[in-house]
Amino acid sequence: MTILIPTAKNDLSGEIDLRFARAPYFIIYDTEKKTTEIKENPYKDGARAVGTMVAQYIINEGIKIVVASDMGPNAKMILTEANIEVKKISGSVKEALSQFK
Amino acid sequence: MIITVASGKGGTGKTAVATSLSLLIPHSVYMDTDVEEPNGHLLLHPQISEIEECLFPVPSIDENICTFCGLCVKHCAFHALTILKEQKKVMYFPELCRSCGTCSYVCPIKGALKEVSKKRGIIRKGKAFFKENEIDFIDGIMNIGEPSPTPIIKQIKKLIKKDKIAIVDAPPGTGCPMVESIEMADFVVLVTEPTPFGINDLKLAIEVVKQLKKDFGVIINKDRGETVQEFSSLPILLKIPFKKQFAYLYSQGKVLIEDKEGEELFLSLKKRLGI
Repeated sequence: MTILIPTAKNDLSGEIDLRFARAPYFIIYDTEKKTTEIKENPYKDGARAVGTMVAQYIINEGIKIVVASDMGPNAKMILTEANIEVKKISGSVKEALSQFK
Repeated sequence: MIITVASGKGGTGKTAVATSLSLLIPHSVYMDTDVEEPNGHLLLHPQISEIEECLFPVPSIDENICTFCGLCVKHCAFHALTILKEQKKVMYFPELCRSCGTCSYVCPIKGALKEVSKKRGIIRKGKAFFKENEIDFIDGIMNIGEPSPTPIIKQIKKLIKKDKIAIVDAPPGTGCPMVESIEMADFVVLVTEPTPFGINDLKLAIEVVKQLKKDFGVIINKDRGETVQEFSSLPILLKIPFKKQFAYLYSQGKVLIEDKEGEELFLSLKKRLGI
């Protein structure tokens, strides 16, 4: 199962970004393989409808859980329909990751 | 002839100028293209005789026929569609859709994606009166929550008749709705005020007007007789003095030409414009 966490830094030392779809980086953690991958958010500078684009990206990537401090209504609606769990957590990335390890 | 009254900054007096100017031109057409918040009717008190609906196509997906190939989602430039392949579902976000028609064009399955009409606003037509003059009145009202006023402005523009003088009351700013409103103009009147915001936004508006290769003139509203260096090199058509009587008329929902001095100002503007 894969988990996505939005963050501002290109490593695991940062906080969960307060902005979900416009966060500069996405941390993708695989609970089975215990691997962490950091991907640049391709939509961070989008002009509009970034929430729906990131939601579609999450579905295409096969992510099952999204950790975010909050997100917009469109993204929330799509992820709910797609049966992707949204965990509302704020704070450090490391703390959030430790809940899944 | 089409004269568009525009400004960079809002609240400089576009509507005050456009209403008074059109009332002084017999058989002219006043067109309010600020469809997000039209206010010309508050001063002109028109008799509305016709209301036209602004209908635009939006997709309607039959999930029993759809194969969830994702082509419509891929090609939607406004990301108004999302596909959930596992759940066999296509989600549509009406507030992101711009009615461009691409989704129905690319859909390969017959009957899977149909275009249905959605009302995005209305256009009102009527007449306004001042003394012996009668003018045509047209304005548009966009539905709340719609993403873009531009399609409604395009529909209003179709009502322009070549043989009549049209005074177009443009929306504020320098974005798409403003560009759409001045793009067809023969002459652009830019209304500004001697404030830092007024001057800054006028500069931006002039840049747009120059890019569109339009002739323009400037009206300085709320003029206090001060010399403003930024205005010195501009083609000034008129200065409207900062006077309580004008503010009073406006607050009463009346046009500036109801005042003797106001009428003289606008008659001189009409003359400067060669109408």
